[in-house]
Amino acid sequence: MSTVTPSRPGTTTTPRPASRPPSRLRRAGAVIAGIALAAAAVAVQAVALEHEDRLGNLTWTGRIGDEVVASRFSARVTGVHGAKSIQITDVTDKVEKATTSGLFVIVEVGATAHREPQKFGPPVLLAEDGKRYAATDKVKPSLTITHPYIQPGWWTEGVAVFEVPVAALTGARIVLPLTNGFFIKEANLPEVEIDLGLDDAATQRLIAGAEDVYPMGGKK
Amino acid sequence: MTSPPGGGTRRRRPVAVPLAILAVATGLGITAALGGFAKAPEAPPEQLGPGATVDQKLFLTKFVASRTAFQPDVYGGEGKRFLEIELEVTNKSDRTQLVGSPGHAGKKGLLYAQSLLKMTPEIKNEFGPISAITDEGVPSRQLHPGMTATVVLRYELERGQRAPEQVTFDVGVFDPEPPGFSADPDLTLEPESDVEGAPPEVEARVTLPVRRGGTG
Repeated sequence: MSTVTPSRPGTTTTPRPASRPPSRLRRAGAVIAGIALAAAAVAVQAVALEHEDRLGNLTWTGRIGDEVVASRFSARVTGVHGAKSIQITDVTDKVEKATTSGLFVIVEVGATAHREPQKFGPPVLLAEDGKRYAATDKVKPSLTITHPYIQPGWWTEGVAVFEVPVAALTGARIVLPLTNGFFIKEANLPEVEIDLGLDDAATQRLIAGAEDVYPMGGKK
Repeated sequence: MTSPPGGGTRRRRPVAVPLAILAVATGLGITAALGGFAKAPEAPPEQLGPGATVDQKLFLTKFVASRTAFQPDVYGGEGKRFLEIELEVTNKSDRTQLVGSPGHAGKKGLLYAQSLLKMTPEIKNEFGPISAITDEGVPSRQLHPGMTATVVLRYELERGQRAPEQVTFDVGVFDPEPPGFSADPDLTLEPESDVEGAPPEVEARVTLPVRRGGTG
């Protein structure tokens, strides 16, 4: 389209056209920059936080017997028992007996709050293979550690009751989270994760020592 | 960057682009003739009977039996009649799941029992079925990982309503890794097709004869 007559090969004196097409080098540079930007976009996706990391709890860990100090409360596990069945007596002296195809695990926990009263959400038994067992619904929450407010100044004691296959016991940990709002959820709440100290020998002792009937509730 | 001097060489015809277009068109034509890119139609749902086990990927469900049941009224009323369906459910997922409720009256169900997509014939009542684990002394609604529980679905029969001779369940399958960015632990059923909002795939149809418990 240029009005300049094409120069013959060898002659270099003719002025170049005003708008010359971009050189190959420049075009290659643009392509490389494009690829680099696209790759960077993909790479950024990979470092984006997972659902669990964005909204999951902040976890303080410890072992059975330790006092695990989290940001808003401290908790400790004082004992672990096994049971084949649980006998629940309600306030009207009605007796119910809960059974399981696995084993009931009763974890004795204590907790104290640092500044404001706290309340626990449903505890979880975290097996070594990552499976999460929610606290059993066969025992009413009013009989467990999720019921009372955890107050500052003294230790509140209670139990968490789980129902698990015996194969899930070795290496299990208890996770105590705080309750979260029903409509407005708070992200990154504190929780404690306490190793129950169940090595192979302790697991065998727990199974062998499991009570036939573990009584709960009733008038005190 | 200049054309070679002299004009001796024959001008080349640009054939690469037309050839490529032709190849793509042929490929698309063959694909279209074979039914396009849509998912090939799956085999029709398996027809199963009592005692059959359906692998729902996150759960294993055995359809044990169906029967009528009578619950006397402790206060001296007429009592209630139910159609009961007994299932043995093994949780293969990595967390405790809740039983939930089966699909009923055209509405989707909840949690585990949403995989029981539809029961035919439908039993109409106000509240729909009740589902729970009832054989462990205290009723429970939890399915713990690695454990098998006996789940009972109860459909209340109204006065004078006869229980059907047999019931058939459309059974769906859970998607262990549902699409989407959030790793929410929600239970999601595998859809029939990739179209947005497609109904869940019916993996199996299980028919259970209803055993009459005297009062059915």
